[in-house]
Amino acid sequence: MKKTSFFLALFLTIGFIVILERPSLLSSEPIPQFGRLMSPFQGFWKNATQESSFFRKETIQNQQVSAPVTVQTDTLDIPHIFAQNADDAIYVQGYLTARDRLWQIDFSARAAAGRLAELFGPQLVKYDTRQRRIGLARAAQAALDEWEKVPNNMHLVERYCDGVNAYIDQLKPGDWPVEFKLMGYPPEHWTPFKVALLFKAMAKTLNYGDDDIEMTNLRTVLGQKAFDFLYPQYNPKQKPVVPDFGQWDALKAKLLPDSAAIDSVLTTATPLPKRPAGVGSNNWAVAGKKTKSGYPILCNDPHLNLTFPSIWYMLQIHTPKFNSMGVSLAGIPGIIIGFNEHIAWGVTNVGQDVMDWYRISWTNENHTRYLLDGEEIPVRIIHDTIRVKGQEPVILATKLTHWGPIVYDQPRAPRRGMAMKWLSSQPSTTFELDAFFGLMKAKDYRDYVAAAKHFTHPAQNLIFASHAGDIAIRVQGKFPIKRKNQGRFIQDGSTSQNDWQGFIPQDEIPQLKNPARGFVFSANQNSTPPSYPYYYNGGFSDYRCRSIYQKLSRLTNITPQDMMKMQNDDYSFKAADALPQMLSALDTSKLSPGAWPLIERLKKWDYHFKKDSIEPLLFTVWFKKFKERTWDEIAELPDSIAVLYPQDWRTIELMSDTTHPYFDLQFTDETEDFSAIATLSFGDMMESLAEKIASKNYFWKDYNRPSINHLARLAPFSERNIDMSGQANTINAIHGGFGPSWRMIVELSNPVKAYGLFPGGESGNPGSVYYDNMVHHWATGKYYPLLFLKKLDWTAQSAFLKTETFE
Amino acid sequence: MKHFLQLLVILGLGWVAQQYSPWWTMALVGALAAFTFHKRRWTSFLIGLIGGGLLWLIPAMMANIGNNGLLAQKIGALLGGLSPNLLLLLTALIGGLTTALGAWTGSAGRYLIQKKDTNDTQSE
Repeated sequence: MKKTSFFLALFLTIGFIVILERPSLLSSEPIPQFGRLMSPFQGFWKNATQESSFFRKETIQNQQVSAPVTVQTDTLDIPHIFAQNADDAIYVQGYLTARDRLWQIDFSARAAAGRLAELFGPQLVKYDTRQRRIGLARAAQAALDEWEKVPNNMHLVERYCDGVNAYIDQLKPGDWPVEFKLMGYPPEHWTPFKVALLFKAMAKTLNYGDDDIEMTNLRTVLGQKAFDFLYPQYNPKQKPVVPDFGQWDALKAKLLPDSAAIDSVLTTATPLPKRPAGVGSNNWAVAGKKTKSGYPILCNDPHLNLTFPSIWYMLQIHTPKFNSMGVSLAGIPGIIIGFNEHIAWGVTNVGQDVMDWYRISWTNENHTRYLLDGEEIPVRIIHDTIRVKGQEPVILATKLTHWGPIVYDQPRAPRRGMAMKWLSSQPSTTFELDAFFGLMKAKDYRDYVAAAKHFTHPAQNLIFASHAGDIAIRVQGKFPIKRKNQGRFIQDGSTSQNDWQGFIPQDEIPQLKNPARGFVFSANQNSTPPSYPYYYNGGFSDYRCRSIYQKLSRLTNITPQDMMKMQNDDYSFKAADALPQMLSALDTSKLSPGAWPLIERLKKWDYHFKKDSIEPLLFTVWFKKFKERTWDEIAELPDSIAVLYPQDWRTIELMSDTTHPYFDLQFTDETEDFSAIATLSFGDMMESLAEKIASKNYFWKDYNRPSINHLARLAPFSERNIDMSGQANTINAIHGGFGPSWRMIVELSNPVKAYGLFPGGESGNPGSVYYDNMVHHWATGKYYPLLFLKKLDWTAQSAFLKTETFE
Repeated sequence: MKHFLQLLVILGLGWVAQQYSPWWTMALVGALAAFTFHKRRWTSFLIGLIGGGLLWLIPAMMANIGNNGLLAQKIGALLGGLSPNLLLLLTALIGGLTTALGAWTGSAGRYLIQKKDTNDTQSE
C-alpha cells in the first residue's frame, strides 16, 4: 500500500514535469517548454520590463573599452554614446543593440543564411534551400574575404561583434529575449560573417528582382512591335533623379552601345510569385535659398517591409573627432541614415536591374555539363547541409556555372535550369561600410563624395546637404555596362559575349550638385532620362517623383514643419492622371441608378488617399477592373505563361487614344472602345464592392490595411489595420505591410535641428513600453525632435531615463 | 507551527534553488521539505501547493504590476486568449502543483523508509 502510494506519487510528479518540459510529446504543434516559460525565475515574466520613473545611474563593469564610455538614454529610449574613440563607441553600439535587439539580429542572420529548418522543422527546408542556392552565405563569406584584404575600418566590425558578444556572454537563460523562450533555442555569438550576411540580406531586399521571364514571354507572344508599343521603358512624364543638362555630351560621343542578342524561347511554367508593389523610398534636400532659416533641409523616408522590431535602431555617437546621429541597421555597425554637425545624408533605392538570368545549353540529362563558347564545361557542385529539427539533415547540392548558381531545379519552376548572375553575389571590391563610417565623420561635399565611392551595392540614391550650403545627390553604386536591352530578357548563356561589359566608372554615374532649381530629390524613379549614354533597365516608380517635384518647385521659405506635412502627403498623381479621363468616358445610361452618387463623389474627389474616405477605394478597384478588361489580350494568355500587364502609366497614356484596338474585348462581337471599357469596369467595381459600400462602414484604410508584423509573424506582437492615410503612389507610401520605415528631417542650421521617428520603438522586447512607443506619432504624421547632444549633459535629468558608464 | 516552518523552508529553499537550477527543482524542494518534516501525505501536498504556488505567484505578480500587464496581455493572447489574471493563476498552479506532487512523493517516501526501518529493527 505504501509502496503503491510512493510510486504513484513519483510517477505523477515525473509525468507532470515531463509534459510541461516537452509538451510537443503530446502535440504536433510547436509548443515551448511550458514550465520554463511560465516560471517567474526563468520564463516570460522576467521579460516584463519594470518601468521606473526614477532617473538611474549605473556602471557596467569589465567591458573591453580603452577608456570609460558614458551612455545617456533619453526619454525616447535613444542611447547617446560618448566615447574617447570610434572603437569604444562602436563596441558599445554592439552591446546596446544586443541588449535591445538580440533576438531580431540572431533570427535575421539565421534566416539570411537559410538556417530556419533547424529551429522550426521540415516545413522550412524549401525556404532554406532557396536561400542557400541564391547563396547569401557564400556572398557574405566572399565579401568578408575581400573586406579583410583592403586597408579600412574592418576593426570596427570586430569591435561591434565584441560588444554584442560581451552582452550575450553575461546572460543567463532567464535573461534571454522572450522570443528565444517561446521558440526554445539559445542565441548565438555575433560575428563579422553575420554582419556581412545581414548586409547581403539588405541587398536582397533592395536589388534582388527582375522581370526577365515575363518580358521574354511577352515579347515572344506579342511580337516586337506590339511589345515595344505596350512596354516602353521610359515614362516621359517622370522626373528623373538627374536630368540631362548637357553633362553627358562628351560621353555620348565616346560610347556606341550595340544591341544585345535576345533569347526568344517561350518559357512556360507555373506563374511566378509577384513582388509586392510599393517598396520604395523618398529623399530630398532643399537649398538654403528656399528655406526660411537660410540653411539646407534634408529629408528621407525609406519605405520597407515594416516589422517589429524595426529594422532601424536609432542612436547618437560622440567622440572627440566626430558627433553623429541617426539610424543604424540592427546588427550592422555605424549609422546608415543620419547627420552630424556639418552634413546630413539619406538614401533611396535605385531600381536598376542588376540581376540577370541565363539559359544554359546543357549537354547531358543530369545538367552537369554545359556549353560555353563552343566548349563543354562541367558545373562546379557545392554541398550544403541543411539541418532539420526532428529529422535527418538534408544534403543540398548547388550547381555553379560561369554565370552563377542554378537556383531552381524543381520540374515546374519557371527558372528551372537557368543560371543567375546577381551583382550582390559578386565578390566585393570595396569595404562597403566605409561609406557610412566616412559619412558619419564627413564635414563637406568633398568628404561626402570620397565616402560615397566605397558604396557599391545595393545601389542607392545617396542624398546630401551641408551646413556650408551644398546640396547633392548621386546614383551611387556599381552598375554593369550593358548593351541595349541586355538583361531585360532571358539571355543565351552559351556565349560569354552576353556577359556584362565591365562597370560604369564612378565619375560617369549620374550625379547632381546645387542645381539652379534649389533642390535635389529621388523617389525610386528612373535615374536619368533616356539620353544618359549607358543603357539600364529596371523597375521604377512613376508618381511620387512628380508629387515631390511639384511641391518642391512651388514651396519657398520652407520650414521643417512644411517638410513634415510633405512626408505625410497622400495626393496621388496616378488618380489625377486617370480618373478625369475615366469619368468623362463613362456612359451613364448603361449604369444602374446606384452608380450616380458614386460618380458624383468621384467627380468631387481631390485625389487624396484619406483613411476614412471611400473615393480612394472606388478609384483603386475601378482602375484594377479597368486594367483587367483592357488587357484581356494578356490576361487570357494561358496561366502557364508568366506575363505582366503594361505599366499603369502606359495604360493611362492609352486612354487618350479612345478607339485603340486594345480596348476591344477579344471574345465579344461588338467593338468596344475606351468608353465601353470604362463603363463595364465601373459596373465590375460596383459589383465587387456592393456589400462594402452598402455597409457604410468600410473605408480606404480597411482596404489598404497598414500593418506592422512581428518578424516571426506572432499576431499579439504585431499591429495590424493601423488607422492611417496614404497609398503606394503617394509620398506617404503606406501599403499593407510596407511603408515609411523611418522618417527624418534635418535642418542644417547651428545647432542642427533634427526630427525623426520610425514605426516601432528602440526596444525589441514586446514587454517594454519602448517596443511600439513611436507608432502612434508615426501613424498620425507627428514627429519627435531628436535630442542631438554636443556634450555629456548632467544638468537636465528629466531629459533622460538613465546614464550608464561602461568601464 | 511546524506547518508554517515547512512552508518557510519551501519558500526559502525554493527561492535559492530557482535562481540557479531548472524550474522543476521545485519538486525536489517539496520532496525534501516533506521528507524532513514527516507529515501526512495530504498535509504535505497542501503545504507544497501553497508554498510553491506563492513562490511562483508573488514574483510573477510583482513583475506584472511593474509592467502594467503589458507583456502578460500579449503572452496570454499567444496562449489562446488568457487574461493576465488567468496567466498568474496558471503560473501559481504550475509552481504549486510541481511542489505539491514532489511533496507527496517525499512524504510517501518517508513512510516507505519508516516502514522499512521498523521492519529492519524487527528482524534483528
